[in-house]
Amino acid sequence: MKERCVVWHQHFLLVLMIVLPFQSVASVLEGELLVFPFIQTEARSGNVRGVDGGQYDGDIAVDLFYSRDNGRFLSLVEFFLGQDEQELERFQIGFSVRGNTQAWFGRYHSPLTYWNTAYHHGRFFQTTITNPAITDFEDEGGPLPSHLSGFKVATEVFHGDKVYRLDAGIGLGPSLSDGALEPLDLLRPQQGKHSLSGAMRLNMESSSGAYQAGLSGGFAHIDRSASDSGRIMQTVGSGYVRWNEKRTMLLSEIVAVRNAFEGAGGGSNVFVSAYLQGEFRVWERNIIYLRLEDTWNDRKDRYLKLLNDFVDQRQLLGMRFALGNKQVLNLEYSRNHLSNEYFGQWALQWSAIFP
Amino acid sequence: MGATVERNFSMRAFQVLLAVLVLAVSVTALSASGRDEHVVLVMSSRAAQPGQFAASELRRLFLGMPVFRDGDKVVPLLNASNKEVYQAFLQKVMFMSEANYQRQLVLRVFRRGGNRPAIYHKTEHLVQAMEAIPNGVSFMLQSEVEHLNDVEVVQPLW
Repeated sequence: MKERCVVWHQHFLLVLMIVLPFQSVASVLEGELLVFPFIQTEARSGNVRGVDGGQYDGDIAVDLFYSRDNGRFLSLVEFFLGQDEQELERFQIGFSVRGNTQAWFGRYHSPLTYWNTAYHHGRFFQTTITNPAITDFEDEGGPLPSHLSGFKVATEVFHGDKVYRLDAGIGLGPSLSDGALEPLDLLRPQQGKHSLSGAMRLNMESSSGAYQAGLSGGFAHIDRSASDSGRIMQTVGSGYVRWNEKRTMLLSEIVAVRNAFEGAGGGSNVFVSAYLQGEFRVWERNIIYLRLEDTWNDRKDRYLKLLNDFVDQRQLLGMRFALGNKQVLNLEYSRNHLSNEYFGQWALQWSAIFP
Repeated sequence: MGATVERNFSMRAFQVLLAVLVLAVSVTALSASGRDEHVVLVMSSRAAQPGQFAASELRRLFLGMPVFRDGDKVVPLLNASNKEVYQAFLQKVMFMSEANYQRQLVLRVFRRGGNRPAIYHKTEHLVQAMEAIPNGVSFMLQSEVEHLNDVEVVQPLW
């Protein structure tokens, strides 16, 4: 009972923090409220012993997003409600500095890699069902921090038809327990030990959206829950390009990760992961897509061996059908390499955006 | 035989007359719509004139990206009171379909936070918003502006 009171007290404080920067509760209603539901089912063949979910798996979830800019103060809240997971995904309070710079406090998406900030839980926006393994979420085998809790600054500079954007953040990163990374949960902050992490991304994009390129980098001190283990110091660098023509889109990203073990045993390793995704628009707004993912020098990486669900190779082919402007249906097949074995996966997903 | 030829002749004459009539009506309609189709960028006459906007600046502005005049942020106000003008604006200024435009706006808010540009479905609401927001700019038919006292033309769009 006492514990429940504490949790509700925390929720109340969080809501208050969102409301306070505004002049009235009514002005809160002027913000953007978006709802991203999805229903997904997966069927797997081959060696599925090590795969989370086994032969058949599915998920029904909704991502609730709220954002408000009253000219000076900013707020952004995203809550993910899934069958197995309920999470305060993003919780940011910020303010605008000279209009094109924003300073944020709270929990946010790490600027590391293209995919993490471009799509994340906005399933409706991304063409594929499956994320590239290197950018998977922490609890799904992702080896990089997807979320940070602390301070972030974002600024945009315009030059001709190009937009240059810099995102840089520093805060508490994930810990490692039970074979997966665990970011700081704002609703249960006492869980896990979280140390300092930081990330930045420099992005250049044409205002028409025809091309985009960027670099990202970061570091993370990853604490392990096991009592006999030392901390991991992770440093990451990545580069990406996206090219968009009328009916074709190509996206490629390469990520280099160095993991160094502190304390007894020590040692370090660098592995490299890359993906290439191609999308071809057919019959108006339907898309045929494919993606190739691979990882090099990962076999002897002690850190990757600690993660249960990291897929180091994947070939993926799929089709996305537009059902009007606000709903899509995806069907895709992928061949995945996990723990020295291959498994195949069919996935079907309906996703939407409301209103 | 003679009666048939005569009937054919009058039929053809009727068809020619009809074609001429249709052509005349079309030309009149076209010239009328051509006169009305001048669309201009507008703002409240009480606000300071922001000067001309480049095409890329306008595109950025209505995509929700910051555009400044004398250190102040310009606020885009979408005019959807006339569906044809709104669609033409998307084609001629934004170079994209409405579905794609809405997607771009939502995507930016999802990634960066903030709000999408406000959209107005009635001219009186738009005019009220322009009065209330000193740096608010929108677009409308030139013929419409001529009947509004508090609205001033910033620049022609097409």
